[in-house]
Amino acid sequence: MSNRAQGGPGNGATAGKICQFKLVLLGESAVGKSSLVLRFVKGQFHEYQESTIGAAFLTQTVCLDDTTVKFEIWDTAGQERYHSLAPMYYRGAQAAIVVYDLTNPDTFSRAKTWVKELQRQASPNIVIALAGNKADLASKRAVETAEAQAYADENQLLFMETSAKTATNVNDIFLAIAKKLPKNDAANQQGQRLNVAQSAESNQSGGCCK
Amino acid sequence: MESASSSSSLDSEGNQHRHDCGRVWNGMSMDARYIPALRRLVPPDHRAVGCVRCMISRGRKRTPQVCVLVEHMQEHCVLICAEEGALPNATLKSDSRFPINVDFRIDIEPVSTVGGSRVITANLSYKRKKLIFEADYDDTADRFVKEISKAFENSKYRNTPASDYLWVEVYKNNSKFFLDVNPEDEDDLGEENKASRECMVKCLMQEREDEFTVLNEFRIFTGTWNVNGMAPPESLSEWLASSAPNEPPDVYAIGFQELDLSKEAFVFADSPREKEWLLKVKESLHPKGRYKEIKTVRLIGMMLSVFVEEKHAPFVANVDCNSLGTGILGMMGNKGGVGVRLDLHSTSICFVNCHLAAHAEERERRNQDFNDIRNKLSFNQMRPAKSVSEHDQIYWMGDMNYRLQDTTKQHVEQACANNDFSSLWERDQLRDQQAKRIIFIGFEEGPLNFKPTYKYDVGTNQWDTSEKARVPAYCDRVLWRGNNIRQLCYKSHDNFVISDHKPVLAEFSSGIRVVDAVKRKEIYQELMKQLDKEENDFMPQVTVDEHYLNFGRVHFYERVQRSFKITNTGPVIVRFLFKEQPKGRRYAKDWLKADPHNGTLKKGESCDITLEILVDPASASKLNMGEEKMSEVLVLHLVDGKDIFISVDMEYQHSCFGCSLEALVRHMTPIGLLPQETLIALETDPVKNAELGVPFETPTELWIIMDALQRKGLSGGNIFGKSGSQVEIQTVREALDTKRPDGQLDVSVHAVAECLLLFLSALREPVIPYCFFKKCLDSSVTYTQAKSVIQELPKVHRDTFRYLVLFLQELLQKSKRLEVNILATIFSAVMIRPPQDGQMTPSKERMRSVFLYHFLVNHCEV
Ligand SMILES: Nc1nc2c(ncn2[C@@H]2O[C@H](COP(=O)(O)OP(=O)(O)OP(=O)(O)O)[C@@H](O)[C@H]2O)c(=O)[nH]1
Ligand SMILES: [Mg+2]
Repeated sequence: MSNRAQGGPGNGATAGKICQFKLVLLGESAVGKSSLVLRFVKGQFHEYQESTIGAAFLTQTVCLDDTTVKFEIWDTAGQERYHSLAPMYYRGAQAAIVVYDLTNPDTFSRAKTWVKELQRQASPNIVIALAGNKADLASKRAVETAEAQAYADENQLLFMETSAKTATNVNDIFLAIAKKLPKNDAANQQGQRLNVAQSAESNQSGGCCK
Repeated sequence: MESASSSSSLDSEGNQHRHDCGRVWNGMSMDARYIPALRRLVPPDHRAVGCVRCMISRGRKRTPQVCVLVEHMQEHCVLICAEEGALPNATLKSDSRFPINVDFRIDIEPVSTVGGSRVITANLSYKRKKLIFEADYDDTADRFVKEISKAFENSKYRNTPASDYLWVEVYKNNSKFFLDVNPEDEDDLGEENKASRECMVKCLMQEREDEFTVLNEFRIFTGTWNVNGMAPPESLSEWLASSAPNEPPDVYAIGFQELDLSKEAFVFADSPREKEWLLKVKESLHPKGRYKEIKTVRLIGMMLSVFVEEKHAPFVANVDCNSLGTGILGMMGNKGGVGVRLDLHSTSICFVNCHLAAHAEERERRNQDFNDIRNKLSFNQMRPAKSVSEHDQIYWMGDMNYRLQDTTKQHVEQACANNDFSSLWERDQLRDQQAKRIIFIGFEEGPLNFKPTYKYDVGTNQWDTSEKARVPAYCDRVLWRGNNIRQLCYKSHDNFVISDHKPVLAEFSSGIRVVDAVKRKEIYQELMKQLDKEENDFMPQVTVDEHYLNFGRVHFYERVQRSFKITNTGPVIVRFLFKEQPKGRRYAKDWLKADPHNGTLKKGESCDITLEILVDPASASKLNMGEEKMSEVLVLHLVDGKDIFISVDMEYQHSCFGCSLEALVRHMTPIGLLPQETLIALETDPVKNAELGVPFETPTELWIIMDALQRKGLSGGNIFGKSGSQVEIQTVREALDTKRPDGQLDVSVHAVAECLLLFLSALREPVIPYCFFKKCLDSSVTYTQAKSVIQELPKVHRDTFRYLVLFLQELLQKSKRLEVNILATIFSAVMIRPPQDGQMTPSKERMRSVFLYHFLVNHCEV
């Protein structure tokens, strides 16, 4: 007659907190925003990916050493006619990935205007990452790594060249954001915290789940 | 006191069953068909008390549901469940919970007869949540409702502090799958989902604990001694350090009884004996070990101290202790129990030290004491509070006071002399009562291969030589409950002679679950992945058959509709709505409306959404001027899911409706024939871009309308009494915008009259310009004041005003059916409009009507 089910993780070392963050993807149409999300969340890639007409919503959790970061991902529509709706999605976001297609210099300029808009309108401590996507198309490269890196450094952005097709740097860029997001109470006022450790402690073993 | 003890014996009965089969099914208030479903719904340490099928009404919604009463540590909760699938394989999903505490109410109505069958009705409420419960009246339903009210009554008199009912949370897990559309619960939904993720993670991790923990052998040393109020002897090492020389125990739990018999110990919390004994214990622990005191708890003469090897101390958590007296009023007695609980790595352990009622004939009293401690001793710093039985391992020691019955001192002495202890065991009361399943159910005890530990003459190893010559007894015992526990040793020590009891020790090799951090992380990540997948897979999904609706050319006051289809293609019920636009704007511009603009779709269900454009007077001028874009993107939001954009485009045909008087009097060409840029230029600077050097006094369009009205006759009753048809209004608009008709408008007088009102209310600047609005109201008291305002108006406004007033006076003369104050109200509303940000109130409406009234009843002198 075991009561094991109630034997909680006691001082279980990995009972870290779960922090929930809103992350938004921005960038011109066809740069690969939806493809990056699809790769990150489901590990898939579609050669023919439909253009997003709306804002897709998915969640994905990243486990760090001491904390768990749950992303609520809003993948927005890149078509210009929907530009005016973007604030609905970056408002209240704690992280953003601005994506450009490194085979298309126009998308890089567009990415810069997105960064500017975020710096002006989004919440001040938003973590912004710049993703130069389609890194697999090396022969068609039109934006040099050094140029993008310099721009990112100048604006304190995380920067990686990614490929949704080959999965290069896809998990890495989300992981880098997860690491950079503030998780302590003071700095993380917008990030909704689900403190599992705390409730595990106070509920002791079992808590509400017995 | 009386009622408390009887209810506790009831509880102990319940608990006995609980350990036999996991849960008790109280047959009387239970619809047995649901037992399989309840086994899946209710976790092992909760108890389903009753369950019936019923009708639940919330507001206007009335649905068939299943109502379940569950219990956990004497707290109850009512669950309202949805039934999925057919009996007997149905599944129950709880969609709301009514904890039975101070916020709960139940009101049972007399049994009524509805359509020949008898129905039992009860009103339940919890905080703001209310519902009506109805069930076919039978024994089960009757008992069920009575169980609820009994639980409610008991909750009022419970003496343990009420927990925060966290245990109920487990039933929230399926909220994602059952979307409760009860608006009162709506605000909780988001929170609930979050809580459920947190809860689910913990729950699922616990389920898989075996996979990331390994059993490590720990030596647990327990000792118990009734010391008869004496000071400690020189050393306790012989007792406490009796393990193998190189195998110091990992954990010690030492219990004493009658540690202090002084009056002070009864009255004050403080006891000098406590320190003395504690010190001696510490000195006497195994010399090869370094121990940390984890907790000491004392109730009068009963003391329990727990120590762990220092190296294990970092893995001890959630230490708590409590005590329970079983004497008079539960406090003055020197009998009862003390307990310490802790988590060692991942195993929860509870130690109990007790002293039960004395005297051979008090067996029942001892049983009662035991069950009281077992049921009522709880660790309240835990959230939720934990009972003794909710531990992986329980070590229970103490002076249990059970005696040897049906035997004599001689026989006992004889048996001991022959080392034939087993012949004593069958006469032992504790073993007898345990075998009868009255006490220590589920506990184990090793063989008593030592002499009875009571009662000795103090200072000797001789059994009671007093006149009473008591039969020796195994008063001092250690029992355990739990998995992976092996007793290494169970014995007493004769060499301690200070007391009439001998000390007893029991040493165990116990399997303690130790977490493998790497594996745990692996499983945690796997679990997160799985939860993400579930969450993503159960996201609401819909398809729409059109993302883009083009309305083509749209005219002023022309109603145009297009529709698109939305289909729920996902795995869950969908709630949709059109989201507000950024900056707090309505979901679309004023000229666009969606019907329905929110709704619910079951799986596979479709619904047509109609979008309608109607450019009314309020929007006309902005669209004329190109100040407002003729496109819109609607955001169709799925609750708990994604957004879908629906683009709407139209091409608005600019019109004389929505122009300004200044512009209208300065052109010849019909407005509709002007290119939009020309109109915008004309509006922007009417004088510079005028078509006519000398403007008309009043707009041609207005003159045409008035002329048509005159021709159709003003005498035919109330010309504003009916509205014109869509087609008629478009005919008039078309005529005004594209050609100069000769007054032969082939429509009813009502249509022309309505166009007059539309024309006036669409004017870019009203007849009384916005900046005169306030002045106008302020001057409505007398005709003289009102006249002076009109004198100040720009010429074209003044002329138009006069023109209208003369027309209205004529109308009043010709039509006997029109009342002057009604006319004043109708026309003041379109001529005297508040500025954009101005609020209208009934008194302002009255004032502007009075303003115009003066002109209608007096000779017009402006
Ligand atoms: N070669 C290559 N093609 C990619 C990569 N990422 C995306 N694509 C392709 O680029 C096209 C557009 O990708 P999407 O993910 O739909 O782009 P998006 O940014 O979401 O576009 P919108 O939804 O219109 O804003 C698709 O055909 C993808 O298959 C990549 O890393 N490498
Ligand atoms: Mg996309």
